[in-house]
Amino acid sequence: MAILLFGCFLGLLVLAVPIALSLGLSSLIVLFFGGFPSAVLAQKMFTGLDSFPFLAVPFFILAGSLMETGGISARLVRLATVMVGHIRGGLGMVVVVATIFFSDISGSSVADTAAIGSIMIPTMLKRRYPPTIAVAIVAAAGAAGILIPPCITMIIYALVTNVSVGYLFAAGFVPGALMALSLMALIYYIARRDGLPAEPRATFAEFRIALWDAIPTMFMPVIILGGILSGVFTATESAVVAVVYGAFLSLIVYRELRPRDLPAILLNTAKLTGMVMLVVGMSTTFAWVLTTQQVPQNLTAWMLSISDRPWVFLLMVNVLLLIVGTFMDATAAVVVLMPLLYPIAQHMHIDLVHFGIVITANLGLGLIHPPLGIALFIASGIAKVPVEKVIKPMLPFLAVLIAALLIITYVPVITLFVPRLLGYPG
Amino acid sequence: MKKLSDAVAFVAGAVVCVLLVAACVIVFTEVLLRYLSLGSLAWADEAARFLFIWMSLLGAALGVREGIHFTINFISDAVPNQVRRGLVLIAAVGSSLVYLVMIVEGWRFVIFNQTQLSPALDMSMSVPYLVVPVSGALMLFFTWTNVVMNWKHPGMRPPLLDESSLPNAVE
Repeated sequence: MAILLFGCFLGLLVLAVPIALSLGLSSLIVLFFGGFPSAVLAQKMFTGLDSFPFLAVPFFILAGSLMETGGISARLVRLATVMVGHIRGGLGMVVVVATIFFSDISGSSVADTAAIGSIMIPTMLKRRYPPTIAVAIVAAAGAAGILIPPCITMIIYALVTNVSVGYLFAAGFVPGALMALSLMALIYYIARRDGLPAEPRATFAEFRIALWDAIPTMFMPVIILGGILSGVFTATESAVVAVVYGAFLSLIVYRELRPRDLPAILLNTAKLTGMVMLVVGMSTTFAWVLTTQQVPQNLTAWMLSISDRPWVFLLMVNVLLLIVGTFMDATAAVVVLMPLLYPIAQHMHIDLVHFGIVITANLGLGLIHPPLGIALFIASGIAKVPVEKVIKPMLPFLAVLIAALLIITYVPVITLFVPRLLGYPG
Repeated sequence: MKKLSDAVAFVAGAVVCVLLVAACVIVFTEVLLRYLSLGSLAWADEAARFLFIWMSLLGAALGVREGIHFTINFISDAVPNQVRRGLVLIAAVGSSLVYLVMIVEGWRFVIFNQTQLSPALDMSMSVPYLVVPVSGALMLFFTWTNVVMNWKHPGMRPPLLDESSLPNAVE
């Protein structure tokens, strides 16, 4: 029965049936042959989505698009450029910081990379960065940024495995910062070696104008990151406050967004949410079928028969997710794989918050890994360079990220430090 | 056929916008009341969840129309038009089975729960459950109108990058 389930699922995927419907249809087939009522699908679909923390998903997507279209992101980037643009590679570093904040804000790597890349890549090209380096910087920063909240993948992971979203967000912060700092160091090195352009130092007047213009926008990261890290807000609360503040800034303060632009933004938010949630809704039946067939238990037993050392399992997870991540979006991969993997992690006493960060970091890396990484394709498309040309400049960035991934995987303290400060018992 | 599909999408889209705004307003009001210690709305959590489920599944149905759902495409992109037309048909028939279950079993669930009241809003549970058959019907409708409309160019999906809608470089 389990083989029938996976056979159908993989077969449907290959036939280009959407992931959500491959999950639904393969579950239906097993329900039918196993003599279960098909009503399970309709009921589980509803109950699977009936959870308050999921509301953070549309709210973060909405906040993100308000920031992009309302000129909030642009002001933050402009201020940072005025501050560090005169350092060689300074703009590249600004791009890293800006990108980590905005990546994984929509649950779709295509939408994210398009939104971030279309601001950052032309900004770098305009200042005479080579297009291949610009693509590599945005792609690598996107992979690191999947760890810095807000992060849709983590919200989904948290709900699938019953871990607190707040602790998971807090846990992602240090590993994400570690990755971002290593990338910035690498950019500084490349900038020295290849002579990336530097801007003339901004005058004090320019700095004052940029700062004055950007002051209201700075509360946005404070609300989202500060609210979550200090434990004042839950993820959903900080998301909704960010929406209201973002709407206030872009409609009333900066007036870059007209009220008649709103329906398109709302509609797009709902579609992106629907895209993630349809996978979640269908997967609840799939997971239920897996459990009735005792697949997680059997898989755990099989894993233990190979090795009972957590590091062997983690290494296998690293490799598996790197492969899956190159052709499947992070959110979808979490929904499909977690019901199978987290029971094993639990059995091996791997902390589930730590495991979540490992999984997220891994899938983020998959998104930009040549030859298939979806985000790499989109970024190359924006810069109008063929993907093949980006692979070579991409290699040092990949090396840095893989090294960081291995450190994050095998030194759990790095991830668990901040959540423990906030009272996480693990 | 295109007009019909556009009209249905317009209505569903309008509903979705209203639901999303309503969810934002309710959750924000709740946060505001709590942090100002003005008490709380007992029904806010439940109302927000129901609005969210309706919005998500209607949004998912609109996503079916635009072909944006996560799909692994590299094989279907590599085959000639004739074969791809076959793949599109297989996907449409397969998905339709799932949608039919959503419609039929979802509807039975709606009827079955007519008298069941939700804990906080005191509203018949049929109202939230109705989203399953309704979104299933919309997905079925959009799947087949797409198949017919895109028959000449099977497997049409939106370009990954819609350059007209993207923001600009920072000066």
